[in-house]
Amino acid sequence: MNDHQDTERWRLLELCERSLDGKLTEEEAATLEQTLRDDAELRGLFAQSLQQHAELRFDSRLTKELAEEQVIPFPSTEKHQVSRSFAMIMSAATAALVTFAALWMFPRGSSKTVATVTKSQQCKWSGSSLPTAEGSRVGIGTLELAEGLATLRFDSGAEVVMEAPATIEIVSAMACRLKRGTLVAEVPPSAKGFTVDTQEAKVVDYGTRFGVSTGEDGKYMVQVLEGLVEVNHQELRGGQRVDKGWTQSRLNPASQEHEPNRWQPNTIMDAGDGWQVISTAFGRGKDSYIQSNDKAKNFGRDPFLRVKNSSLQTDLNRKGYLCFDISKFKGQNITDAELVLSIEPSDLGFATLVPDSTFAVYGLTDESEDEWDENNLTWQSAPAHDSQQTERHLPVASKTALLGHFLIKQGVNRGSLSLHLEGLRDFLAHDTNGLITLILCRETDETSRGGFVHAFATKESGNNTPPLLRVKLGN
Amino acid sequence: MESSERTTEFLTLLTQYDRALGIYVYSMVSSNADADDILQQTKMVMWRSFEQFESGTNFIAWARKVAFHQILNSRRQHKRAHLPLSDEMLEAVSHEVAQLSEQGDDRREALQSCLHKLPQEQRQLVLLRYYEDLEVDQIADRIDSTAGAVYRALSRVRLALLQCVEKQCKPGEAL
Repeated sequence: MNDHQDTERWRLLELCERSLDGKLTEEEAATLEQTLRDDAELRGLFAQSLQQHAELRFDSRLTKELAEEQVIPFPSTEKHQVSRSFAMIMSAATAALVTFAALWMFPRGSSKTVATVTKSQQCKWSGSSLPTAEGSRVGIGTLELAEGLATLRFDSGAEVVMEAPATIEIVSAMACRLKRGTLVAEVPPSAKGFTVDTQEAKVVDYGTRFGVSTGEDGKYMVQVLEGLVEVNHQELRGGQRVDKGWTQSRLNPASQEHEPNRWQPNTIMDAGDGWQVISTAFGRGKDSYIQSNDKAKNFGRDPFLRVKNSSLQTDLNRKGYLCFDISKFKGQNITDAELVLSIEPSDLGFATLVPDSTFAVYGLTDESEDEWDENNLTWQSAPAHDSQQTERHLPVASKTALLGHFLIKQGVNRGSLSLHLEGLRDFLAHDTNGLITLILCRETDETSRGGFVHAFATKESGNNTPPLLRVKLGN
Repeated sequence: MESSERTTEFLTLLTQYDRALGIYVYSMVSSNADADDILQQTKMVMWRSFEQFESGTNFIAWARKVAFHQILNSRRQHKRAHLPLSDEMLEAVSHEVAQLSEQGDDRREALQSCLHKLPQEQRQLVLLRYYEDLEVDQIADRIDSTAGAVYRALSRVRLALLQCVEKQCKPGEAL
């Protein structure tokens, strides 16, 4: 089951429910007809739905029995225990499952509701005291988002997008408290005066769009995207930000500096069934990224590599560079290959401003440039790169080959990706110098300044798996 | 004498397959009132032409054939009340539904146990829809939500139940 089929299934199921009530438009009815004609599997699913609908209507004992059991109106909610490892997004299908595993709760009726959950993307909630289903109404209480992006529309008109991990407390239609994490608020004139409190800041909005991040330690950051807000009685205009230690605490977590790297295999691992795995730490492997900045900045020692495409801020484009030492596989027949990347929780930018993102992986075909040094790699000097090129987020086409694409859903900022890139195996087979360089680019632009910067673990990462190359050797 | 034996045979078969036939018609007809009318007519037609039915052949297959014909008739009369599919597609779907009913009681038992496994909120939705027999708009009002969200939630319950039923019917092939 892939993501596409999954989407199709949900679309069909919704059409089915509405067709039962005669609620389909002519166009939708035509779509339904065509889908059922083209896809036997979906036709089967449709028939099963009709049959289930029929059983539940025809056989009233089924629901009568259920109703009689229902003596307590709302007992404590059954929590879906989704283990942490489940968060590893091995495929988009898993992500979809996570979404569907989310609880579908409805309000308790008596308490006053002040907001609606209007959208939930890839969401996993934890320990929230409020309903979290799309379309559900929420009253005063706490929402804790473990993964994904969730949009709340307050009755005042203010719209708040929570970016996981985040905890907010809904206070009223005009106020909320951000306990930790990040939110982006969009406040129309009707909700002028909408307030977001953090432990140490009070942000009052005067019709605008802004983002707030805060940690449990009280450190916070407020960035105004448009308009005017007041932070602790100090005015802040579009493009301005106050950062009270938040970014600092993210970028240099105190513990990381002196700790040895956790996982640096300098061997080839045998994954069984002919599969061998190497990381960028193996042999002459390396990994880093470059940023379109006039100053020659190098990021070779960073525990992550950042990737971004921005047509709005041209000095913030970033491309990732990976190099694997495949000399040990020389002369052997590589029959299959995969690239494995760990998504690092990124501390830069708002996920709200970057939609589902498509990434491209390029292979460096000009082998004379494979010998780059990760501690010297800069925007001014990098393989298959021209610092003056117009497409700042892409490599120089004549020196590279496109190996494939992959997708990261909006708001996903952790997990591991196993990428079966169509061109990777051939690219490996054509290598002659024992080194292969891959260039990682984001094709998806941000919709507004300040958008999310994707990050992937490098071999310097203290807590995440470095980029891996898995190859299958055959005879 | 012969006629009374035939009557007994008809009633025995009809009773035996009443539920299967009922669910078949309910599957193909979304309004309960229409479905009941169609069932009644189907049974009358079957009784009238029972002499053409050969004892020992597949009674439910014959019943479905008669019923499907009645459904087509009804669709011609009240178009709006029926699924917005072509006759041809309706027939294709009806074959799939017929296949499901071959699993008979297993499916019912599975559905029964799966209903009990639903989380509280989904159960609530099933009860509003099927026990209280509410329209989707009414459900939306009741739970302070929108019709769109209720349809989405319903399709999620639907899939959860289907997957659970499949799993129970074929324990060896669980996902």
